[in-house]
Amino acid sequence: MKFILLLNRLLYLELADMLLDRYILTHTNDNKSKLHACYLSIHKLHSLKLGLCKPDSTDALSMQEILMPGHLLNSFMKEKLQESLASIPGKYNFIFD
Amino acid sequence: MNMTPEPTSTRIPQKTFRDTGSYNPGHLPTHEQHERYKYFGKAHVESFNFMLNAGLMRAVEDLQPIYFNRSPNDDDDSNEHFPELKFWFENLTLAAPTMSPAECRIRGVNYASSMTADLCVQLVNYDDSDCSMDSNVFRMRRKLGSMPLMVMCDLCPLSKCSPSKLVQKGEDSCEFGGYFIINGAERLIRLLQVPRRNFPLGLQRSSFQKRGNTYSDLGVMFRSARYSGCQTTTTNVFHYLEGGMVTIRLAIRKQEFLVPAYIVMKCLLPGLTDEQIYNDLLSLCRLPEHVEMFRPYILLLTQMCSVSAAGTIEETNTSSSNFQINTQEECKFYLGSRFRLILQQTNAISSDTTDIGKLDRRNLLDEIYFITQ
Repeated sequence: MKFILLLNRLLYLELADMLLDRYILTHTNDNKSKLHACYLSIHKLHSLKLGLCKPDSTDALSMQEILMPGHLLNSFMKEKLQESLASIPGKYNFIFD
Repeated sequence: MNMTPEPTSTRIPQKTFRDTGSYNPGHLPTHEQHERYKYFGKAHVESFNFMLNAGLMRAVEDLQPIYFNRSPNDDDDSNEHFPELKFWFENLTLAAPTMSPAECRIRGVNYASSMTADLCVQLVNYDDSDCSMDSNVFRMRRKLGSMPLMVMCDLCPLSKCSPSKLVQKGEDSCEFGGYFIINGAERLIRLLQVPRRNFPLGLQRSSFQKRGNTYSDLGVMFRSARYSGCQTTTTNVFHYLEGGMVTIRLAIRKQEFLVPAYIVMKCLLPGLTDEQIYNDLLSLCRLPEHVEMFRPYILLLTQMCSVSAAGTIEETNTSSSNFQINTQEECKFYLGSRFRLILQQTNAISSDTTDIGKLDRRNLLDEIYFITQ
């Protein structure tokens, strides 16, 4: 039983790494840079709270960018490829049953 | 009767688009003019070319491999160790289109090219020390369906055509592309305005208060583009809660979750102490008079977070109320256990496959398609 617990624990740690890598501040794969981005955001949040900076205007051009068709399609394709990959185990299930 | 006779030399005879013999070259744009016409569609065409030349390759490399075990759930017999199957894609390629854009318009079909990739399968045996060896990888070339092509992209034969050649192929002499042909109709992906990437955007929105009881209307949005260069973006919002706590909002498959920033920060570095977080945050203040302004908030953050994180644990994990999360490993264990179900895709997907029983084993891999409209 101890072995299973250990295995689960390792699994959970791996899942946490995956979560950090895929869903939180994904512009960097370096954890230290991620931490610094966290610091920066929290500092800005506190500055907002203290009134030291104003909220950014999302209508200002400097706070926007253009989403290119190729880029949009590329992330769409990535999502679809990931979905089709994830559907494979389901298709394999019945072989073993 | 004072009709002037038509000059016979400039009249263009009525011809079908395949007949090119006597088209007056004086009506065609010069090479230089045609290059200038292409600027109209340049943003579209070049972003699509980026996708063909680099983006798709990076996206495929960045895909998460799927691990599949015979018993994906934690059953009673799970201490008996089955080897796992690992699936992933390699070498995604797009073939040249089989039809010309003009033909697609007339026939009312998609201007598309077929996409193929290597589906790789590997037996992963954890008992074996050299499981990472490349020897037991099976690669199968699989069709993945068709992918709409942009007119005048690098794969499109029109991209290298001169104006006279374009006319010969039934296109306009000033063709600059940048659109798709879907069911014979020309369709464009519009340029969209989105928030700036990789930048903390300070926001004040009343909708933030609806997230929970103590949520304030302040937030910092961070839209980050993935480091692999595949142009996928994720958006995180740092919420400020009355009482000093900060939570990070993240979206996994369109579902939104809120995680205390404290736990995330603790996960990121081994041996990161509260004191270090406190000092690091304080060191961001540039002016000395700001230090005293920020200090209570930062103190509150590091104190409140550890208290509220423990509170969250107590609420959700009834079995171990005195569970401590202080170290990196404990925080990771907390995150991993919270997000296990949503992150383990194999468990989530295998339940909603209904009509699989009809397939037989040989055709199985041919059935792994996805369709883009």
